[in-house]
Amino acid sequence: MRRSTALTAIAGSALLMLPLTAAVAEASPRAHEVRPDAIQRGGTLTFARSTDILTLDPTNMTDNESIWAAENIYETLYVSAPNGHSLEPWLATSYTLSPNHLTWTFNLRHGVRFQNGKPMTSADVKFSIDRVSAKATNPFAFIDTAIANIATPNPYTVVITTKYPWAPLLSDMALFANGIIPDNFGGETQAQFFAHPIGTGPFMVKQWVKGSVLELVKNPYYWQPGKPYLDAVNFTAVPDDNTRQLQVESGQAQIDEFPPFSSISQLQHTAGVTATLFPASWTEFLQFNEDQKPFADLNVRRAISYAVDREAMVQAVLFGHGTVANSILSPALWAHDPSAPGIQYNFKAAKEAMAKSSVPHGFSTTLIVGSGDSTENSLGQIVQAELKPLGIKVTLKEVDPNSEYTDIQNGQYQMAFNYDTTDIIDPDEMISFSAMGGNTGQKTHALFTNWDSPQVDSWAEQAERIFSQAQRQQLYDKIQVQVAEDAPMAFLYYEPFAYAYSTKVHGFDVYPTGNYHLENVWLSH
Amino acid sequence: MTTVSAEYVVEKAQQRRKLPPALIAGGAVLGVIVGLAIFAPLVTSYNPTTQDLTNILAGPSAAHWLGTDQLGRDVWSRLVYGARTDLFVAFIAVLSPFVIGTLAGVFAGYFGSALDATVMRLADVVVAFPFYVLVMLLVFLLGPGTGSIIIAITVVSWVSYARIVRGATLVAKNQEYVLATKAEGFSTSRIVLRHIVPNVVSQAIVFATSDIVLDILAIVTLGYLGLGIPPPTPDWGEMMASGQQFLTTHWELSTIPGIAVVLTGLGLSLLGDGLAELLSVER
Repeated sequence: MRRSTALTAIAGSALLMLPLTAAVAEASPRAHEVRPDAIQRGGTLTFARSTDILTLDPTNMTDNESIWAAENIYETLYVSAPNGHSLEPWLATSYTLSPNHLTWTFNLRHGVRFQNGKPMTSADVKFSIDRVSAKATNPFAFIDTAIANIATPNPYTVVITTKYPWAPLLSDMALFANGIIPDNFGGETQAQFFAHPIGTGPFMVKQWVKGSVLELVKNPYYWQPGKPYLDAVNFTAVPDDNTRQLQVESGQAQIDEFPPFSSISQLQHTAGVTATLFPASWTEFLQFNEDQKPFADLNVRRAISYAVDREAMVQAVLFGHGTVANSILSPALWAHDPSAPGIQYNFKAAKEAMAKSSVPHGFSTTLIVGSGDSTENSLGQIVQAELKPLGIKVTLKEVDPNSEYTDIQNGQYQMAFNYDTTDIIDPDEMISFSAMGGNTGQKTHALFTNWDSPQVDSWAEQAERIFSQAQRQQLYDKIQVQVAEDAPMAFLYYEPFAYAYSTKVHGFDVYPTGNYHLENVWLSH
Repeated sequence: MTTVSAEYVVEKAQQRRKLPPALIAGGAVLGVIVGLAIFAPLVTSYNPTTQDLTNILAGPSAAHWLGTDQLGRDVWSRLVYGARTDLFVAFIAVLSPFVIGTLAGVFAGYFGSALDATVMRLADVVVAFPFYVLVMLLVFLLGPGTGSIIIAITVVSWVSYARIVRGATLVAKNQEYVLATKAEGFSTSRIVLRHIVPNVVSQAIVFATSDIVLDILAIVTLGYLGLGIPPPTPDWGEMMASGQQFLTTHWELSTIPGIAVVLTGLGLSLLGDGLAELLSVER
């Protein structure tokens, strides 16, 4: 729909932490509730999405469409659990961590084969993970910077040594960028390999017609017994919302990615169609640039935050399919504090804050919105109307959606809409990205608001170095309170991932990190 | 002389009685739309920008004749105020190139030589680009807004007026009545403005009635593409664009302003045909 969620990770902090309590989970791949004899095999799933993939190279992909498709072609040592709160072993079956927290030994799963039938070994794992940080310009190089070296004492053991204690390593191993491909590209050049790449995933690439369709077929050597159920998956690029919806209704496609929220209730009453809102980590913000007058003034930011009616936004923009935000952190993350005091609509408090500010009679400002982005245009007009009684005259400036994020990054805005999501299950990515100031070396400078709180920075850094989730929770609670009070951005709402799909589709699930495991999906004929 | 004058008056009066039907039909359609636009505050009690987020996407009712949009604003009110915005901008956007183009054309045609060459080469440069490409580029560079739209359309549209008027001037300047004024020793400005312009301008006027259709479409298109009049000012193009996401649930949100554009275009086209007939201009 908008910018890639993964972009957040590129610029995000390298300090992705993981609670070790969650990390030691020893679950087998998720078992489905459906009785095995009820499952029907075969068929082609047509998955209509708003845009095409951009690349098949996992180390270089930053857009969600590429990432979510690639996660069905390449697999990682560990994966996020369906609830997004823990990790599950995947291509590795277990790990041990040395007492000095520097050496991680992974035991690889036996019987895993690539899509050409050759077995996966530790050499492939070493090659794949070394690639991620081989070039500093690789978008996810920062993820693996702590790795000193990777040793392969035998074909089923991988030993990763870190330069310093690095708790998020396991979480990193679940990131798509660390997906496993054959050692040395199976003897080909990189370009040759990615023309028809192979991994260990349930589906393999048949062909990619750029701008139109990515066709995947079943991997006959897949390691999970009996899976995948489908013969083929076609990811089609269908930009128009209405067309995707009609395709699912007519049976041309089986899954419609991101139907507009306005159509959800209609879809839920359409025969043969299921519309589901999957919990996501999407947190929508109205942010202020503190380098531009008068947003350095705390009272101005608080006044605007008080003046925004979030409940009305959820109704008007999400058609009720979302929740009002109370914290910078999404409820999809374990550290979310349901009682965080994020500012809520209170017009009287807004007027009081405005009266105390440096501009008690109001001012003129500009709010940038993405051209053609109906959500931002609606939100913008709501904000414009709601700030008018405070004497704040808001001009909406429509900007090219492709340059909107660049403008925000370069500080060329006064007010803007923005959002944050997480690619990993740890709260640190969102906090680093959206709350940590420039003094910490964090390039995103509190989501480009240029807001600085040495106190929040210090708490966030402490939380990165503590291994007890309970202690980290206390720090994250303090951070959530402080960010709410200082209002560098107004937290608007939490938005789910909306999907509409044919009732013939079974086993389709979207995780809070946005990915889906299509090996569990089957079609009733 | 008296008899000639009387005959002329009678002839004119007969012509007036037989107005072309296209002119009447076009005038009626446009009259209603312009009337609604002018008397917008009288035909709706709602402010077109007032939001009611508790009553969004409501269907037609006694309170809201055409329902409400995604921000709970009255659609009928936005439609008539949108007519105001779009017709006003279109009127200015056609008047400005009309004046500039006519003057450029008449002077280029009358004086010829270097001035003519300069104006016509400038015109060639503008015509070298497709209309929408140039207008969109200019609006994008100047920043969306009413002023930018008028400037952009003027920069592109004056050419047509200049070419039409220049051609007519080339013919007119060798007509006897012009030669006569020259022989009388009238000043150049008087000859051009009092004697040539009134005789060549009718072609430009007729062209203007079809040009304004193009301008309205351009304004609506720019609004649809997000390069139009900034929100919350109502505009048909913006109404169509924001209604598009509700095409399967509330088709009327995009369709109603679309019908308004079609009716306005139809009215203006008929008016243009009728006017051409009345002024006996070959189109």
